[in-house]
Amino acid sequence: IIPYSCMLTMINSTLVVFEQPGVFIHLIVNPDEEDKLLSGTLSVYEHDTQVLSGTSSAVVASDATHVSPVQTQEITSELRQPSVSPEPNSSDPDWTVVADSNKHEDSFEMDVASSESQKTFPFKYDFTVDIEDLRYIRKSKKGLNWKYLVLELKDGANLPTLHFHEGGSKNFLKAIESYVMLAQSSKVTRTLEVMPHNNNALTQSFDELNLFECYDNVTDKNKTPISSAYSGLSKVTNYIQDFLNPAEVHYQTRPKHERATLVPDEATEAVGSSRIQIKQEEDTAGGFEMITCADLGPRSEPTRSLPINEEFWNNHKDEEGRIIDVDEVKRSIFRGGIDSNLRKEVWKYLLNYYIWDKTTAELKEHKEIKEENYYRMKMQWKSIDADQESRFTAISRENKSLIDKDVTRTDRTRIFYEGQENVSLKLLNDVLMTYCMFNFDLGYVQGMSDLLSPILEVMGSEVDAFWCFVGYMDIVQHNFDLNQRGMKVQLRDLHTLIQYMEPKLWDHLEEKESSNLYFCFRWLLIRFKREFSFEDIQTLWEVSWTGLPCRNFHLVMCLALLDTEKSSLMKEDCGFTEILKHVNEMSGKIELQATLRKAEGIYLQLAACRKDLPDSIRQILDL
Amino acid sequence: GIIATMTEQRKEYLFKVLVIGELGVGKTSVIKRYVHQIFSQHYRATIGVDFALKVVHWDGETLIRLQLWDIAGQERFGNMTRVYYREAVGAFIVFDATRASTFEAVNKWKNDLDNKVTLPDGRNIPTVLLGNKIDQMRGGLLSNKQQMDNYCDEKGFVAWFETSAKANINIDEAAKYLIDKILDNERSYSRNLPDPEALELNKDDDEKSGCCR
Repeated sequence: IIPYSCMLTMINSTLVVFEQPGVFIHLIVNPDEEDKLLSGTLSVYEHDTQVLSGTSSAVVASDATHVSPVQTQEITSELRQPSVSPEPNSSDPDWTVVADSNKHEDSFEMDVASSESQKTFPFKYDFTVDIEDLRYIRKSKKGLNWKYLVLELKDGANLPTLHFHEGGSKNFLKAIESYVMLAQSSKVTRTLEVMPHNNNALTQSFDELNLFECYDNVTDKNKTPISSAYSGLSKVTNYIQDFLNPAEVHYQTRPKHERATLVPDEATEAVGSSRIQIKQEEDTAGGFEMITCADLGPRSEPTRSLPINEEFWNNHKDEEGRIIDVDEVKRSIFRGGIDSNLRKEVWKYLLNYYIWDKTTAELKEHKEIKEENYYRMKMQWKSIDADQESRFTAISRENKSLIDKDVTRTDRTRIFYEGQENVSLKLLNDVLMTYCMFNFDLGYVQGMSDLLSPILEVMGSEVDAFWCFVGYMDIVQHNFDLNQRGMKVQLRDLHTLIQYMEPKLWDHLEEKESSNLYFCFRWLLIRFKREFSFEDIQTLWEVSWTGLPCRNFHLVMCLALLDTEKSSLMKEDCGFTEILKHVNEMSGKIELQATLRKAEGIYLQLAACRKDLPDSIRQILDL
Repeated sequence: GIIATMTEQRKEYLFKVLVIGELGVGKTSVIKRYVHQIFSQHYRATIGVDFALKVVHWDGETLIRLQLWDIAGQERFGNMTRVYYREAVGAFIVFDATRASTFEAVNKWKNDLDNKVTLPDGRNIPTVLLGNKIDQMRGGLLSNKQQMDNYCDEKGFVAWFETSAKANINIDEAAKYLIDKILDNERSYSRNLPDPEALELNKDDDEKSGCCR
């Protein structure tokens, strides 16, 4: 989503044990403006120290050089933390903070920086700290699209908040944990206390071990009196994963991997990290942290119906031709689609070419105006002669040649489009050319011919096809934006949905470097046009044009498709390449009705517990 | 992108090869011709990225699985398709010999490629330039042989071929040439390996096919 520069921290005779590019620092230049983002690579490396003990010490380093403005919509305001974001020192724009155990008292100067230099981007912005100088690590709130961490040092200074837009925060913590111990802070929520390894831990008392066994039992909440007490505090739809504050217990001195498994970890394993929500129970003493898990409840498989037929349609017209009970019409179309002989008429309504409450007479007039408009715009490009065109910019000329290239290869195996001198090809060309006049700045982008082709075949008429296409493009035109905003937003939303609904699949995708979800690109760009048969795509599209049950139902479709395929996708040998290959090869093999049932089931499942969903999910699904 | 396994003197490789170039130059057609020996006027425009796999019995001891990545030519979504450049060990850049604008764009594609993917040792991946649709061009590109040779030298292409996916001209030859270059690179890695057996590669595939070099 955000461009970043990748910098390797290469230092002689050091061992890089962890490296995560795409870690961002958000800078708030001015609260009214967009955040400035610095991207860089966060590394943990080991270097030999000449300390008497002879052990190696580890260092956390971040290197950021790239500054990029970010679209406001991609930053949620919750993430703005002016108090935490450090300010660069104006006297030293290239400042680098380096600390080792000898001089950390004087090396962190973030707090004394002036704000003046903030306006002068770009500047270099990197730091290196000794892991042993860390005091706390504050974790992000759950339910956000990405994780962030705030590293606090022993002298009280905060390092810049690190935003893991490309993931990796968990692995970072894991890497750190091989050098120090991280334990939930007793005083502050979402905060890990950094403690040195206790070398004697292994030989320490058996008492501790007994304690762990006691806590281990918490997994079985029915057996433990403490957990049943807390269940009263949780919401009815949630079930509690009790998390007892370990502050007073001695086992904190034991490295994590030597401890018995704590409940929250197990819950994370079972449900996936993203669905665990942390809720602060204000009224309990000691600031207990409740980790609750939204119980999604059972998933139903709603039944599908037959397509609406002529009788149904005519029953929903009044004597003057207005469509009555539009909501029911839409619901029925969502349930079963439209009989093929009715599509020509009903699509015009679904695509906002015809207006539901206009009478037949009014529609006739409406249609005449639209027709006139179409031919006026068509004339505009038709009347351009070669001489005039020769003075156009390359971009304007390019539309024509792009359309020409694509028209000759759009659905040519359909009878409607086959053969050399097929008049339908000319219609396809003319409608696309006219659309370039209609939506001049967007122009033609590959994929549009795929969207038009079924519409033109159903309409059979150039004018009707054009206005229906306009209606469809109104829904999907951001897919074709020059800045790709529409595609990015959809990929981000799909990311959020998968991470929440299919956390294990998400973990796999991340592990296989496929979390950008580009393998869904074709699905989204042309709304599954290449994935289904011509007949099925007509049904899918008319179902989606109802706008039911939510605008982003196509993303839920993606979720349903991935759910169906997840056992194949999550095989260990299914990597970056295989995931893409598998998804591409699903084309033509997808069962439409079953997928629609599953998608609706997922939607209803989420809708049933809307109160417990994170805001991000609710927003995507209009809940 | 290279996996080499050795079983009783038999070597198996997996090579990832990119096929890039402007929209409508015939990338998909070149791939379909090479992999399935077929041609159609009506291949759809590629949206995003497609795949094809061809198993090449290079010689008695070498089996090559060639993974051909058909990458959409549309510039707008370039940043989303470029992620698929990674780990490629060879590439074809295709232009339409009948459309000058697609040749003018070759330089852009080559620079883009060189910027985004390199061999493990930092060198550019071997890239062959294909002037496609030669069947529709009287006289072909051979009349410009010297110019094309110079161009390739200057831009760092290992070779160029005039091709026709439709008339099946030079597609196999171009692929053979590129595979040979990729194998050369493989051998140079092998030489750095301590395993002496890795050097035992037979050397009778010296045929430099094609219309250039």
